[in-house]
Amino acid sequence: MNARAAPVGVEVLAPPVFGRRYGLRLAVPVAIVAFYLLLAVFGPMAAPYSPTDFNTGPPLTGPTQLHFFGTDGYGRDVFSRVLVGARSILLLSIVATLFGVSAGCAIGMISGYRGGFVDEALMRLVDILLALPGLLLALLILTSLGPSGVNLVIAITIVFVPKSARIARSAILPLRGLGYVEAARLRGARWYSIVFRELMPNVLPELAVEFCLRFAYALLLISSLGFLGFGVQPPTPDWGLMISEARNYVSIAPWTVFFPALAIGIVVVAVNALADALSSTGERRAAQYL
Amino acid sequence: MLRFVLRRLGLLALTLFAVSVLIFSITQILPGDVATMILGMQATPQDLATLRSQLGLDQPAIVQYGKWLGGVLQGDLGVSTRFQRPVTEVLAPALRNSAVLASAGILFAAPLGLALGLICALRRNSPLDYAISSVTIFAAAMPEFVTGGLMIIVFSTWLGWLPPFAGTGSARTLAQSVSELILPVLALSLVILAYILRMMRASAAEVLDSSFVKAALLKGLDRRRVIAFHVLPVAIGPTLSVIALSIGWMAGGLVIVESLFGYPGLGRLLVFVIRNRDIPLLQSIALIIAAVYAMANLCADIGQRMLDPRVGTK
Repeated sequence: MNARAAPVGVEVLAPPVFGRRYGLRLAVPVAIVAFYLLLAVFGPMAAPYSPTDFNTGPPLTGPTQLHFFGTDGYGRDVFSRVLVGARSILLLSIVATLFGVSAGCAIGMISGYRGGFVDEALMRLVDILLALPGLLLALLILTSLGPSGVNLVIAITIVFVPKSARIARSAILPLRGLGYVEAARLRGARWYSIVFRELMPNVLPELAVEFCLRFAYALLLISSLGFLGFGVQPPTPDWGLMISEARNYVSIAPWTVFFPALAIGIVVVAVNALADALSSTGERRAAQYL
Repeated sequence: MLRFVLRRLGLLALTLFAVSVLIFSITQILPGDVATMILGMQATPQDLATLRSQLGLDQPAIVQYGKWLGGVLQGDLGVSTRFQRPVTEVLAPALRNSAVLASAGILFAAPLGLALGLICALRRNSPLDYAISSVTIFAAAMPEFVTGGLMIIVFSTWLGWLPPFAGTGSARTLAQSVSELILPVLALSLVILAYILRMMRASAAEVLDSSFVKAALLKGLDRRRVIAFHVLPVAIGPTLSVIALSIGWMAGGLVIVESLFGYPGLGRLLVFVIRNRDIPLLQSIALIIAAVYAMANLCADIGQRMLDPRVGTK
């Protein structure tokens, strides 16, 4: 891949994960993500117990044939809770990423194309929002709005907008002066038509990578906020919250922490690997979302 | 150079001012006000009104903000509504604990990340490179409470080597305190270790392929000399900004890791303060984190200019 851009003697800098076979690098993460999406849709139907039922068995028993992942401190079935928990985190992450990345990219592209005062004002605003670390900003917003699914989406959107705006802006900047943009302008196209119909198709691959990376970050943020108790509220099963609830008996019932942790870990890694496979310069991109 | 530093310092002050406005306005729209927090639900409306005017809560928001900012600039962060003590007194021990944790994390992750990244770049596409790069993609993606939780299961529950909680005051000896810190530091720094490593690998690889390195090698300079004096200073430049970003990332990481391990630092205090709606303390913590973050970014920019004279001269 990318052989056309690489001068003689310069190796492509893509991370060599999963070997050199590009197809596999793309197929494995796609399969895992697809599996999780199926889980989000059908998980609640496949759950053997209700995720909120107390005493489905003796509390804090290890994995058995009746309870594949064991039971938690209230005797709830961990397997059912993990299955049902997939829906909320995936749905919230996808919606928040869609809102945040689209709004951010739109702002960034407009800012980059128009330049001048609009650009200056929007970018200073972006700088201010970026002066607070993402998790802290989300926490502050959730504090004033109160914890709930909708507010979680609002908080993540606000966190994502400035970062996506920067990415989209820097993707647009080199294209501004190109011939086809000039041509569109000369034939009298309005600025929004130039931004969204002429420029956007050309930066779509970059925006797709941005979406993917941001989706991984949304999963991480939402599960972290859930862990801190600011996400989905109990008794709805949430992977992050399950880990913090089970934290105190990890020494006697490690499975109550292990399986939700595994569920989060696998999907986050898969989405990251997907973003990496989509972009040829994984390192530089990855650094953008810290 | 001096002009650059001064301009950036000015920008820093402006950004922090804007952030203070942002923090103040977010905390202003919090439900439930300070007076109710102090007096409790049973307070009479008269008592509440008296206390509000004592605290200046009946004044317009802009006046309150002016007073708060004036206090902050003079080192007076106000009084914690929950602890009924000056904010500075409550903050000091938590800040110290967090500083210990965060600096241990950086001191662990930065040198190791730089060294491993350079090794990967030097042996590109070797099995070692594949192995390290594959591990980092996992490490970089995981939330801290997941890696931390898994580490607790392995090292504490199964192997019994390390305690599952930290800074609980149960440690009697130095060795005990150090062993308590190992897991939180690992959980906190794994993500940034991965980022530093990947950035270093990418930038070192780019420098290694550049013509000035080839020229140095071709004129017969010792390979080790070239790596130490030609490659390293330039390759570290872009990595520095990742290290600075990591410090910002750690602010979030601290909240998670401290909550997971019950470590009495700034991050756990922040969660506690949010739950208890202690607004003066909340504003101060947010401001401190923003200030540290902004200064880390500034240091990275200055450092990068000093290491690579080409930056900014275009």
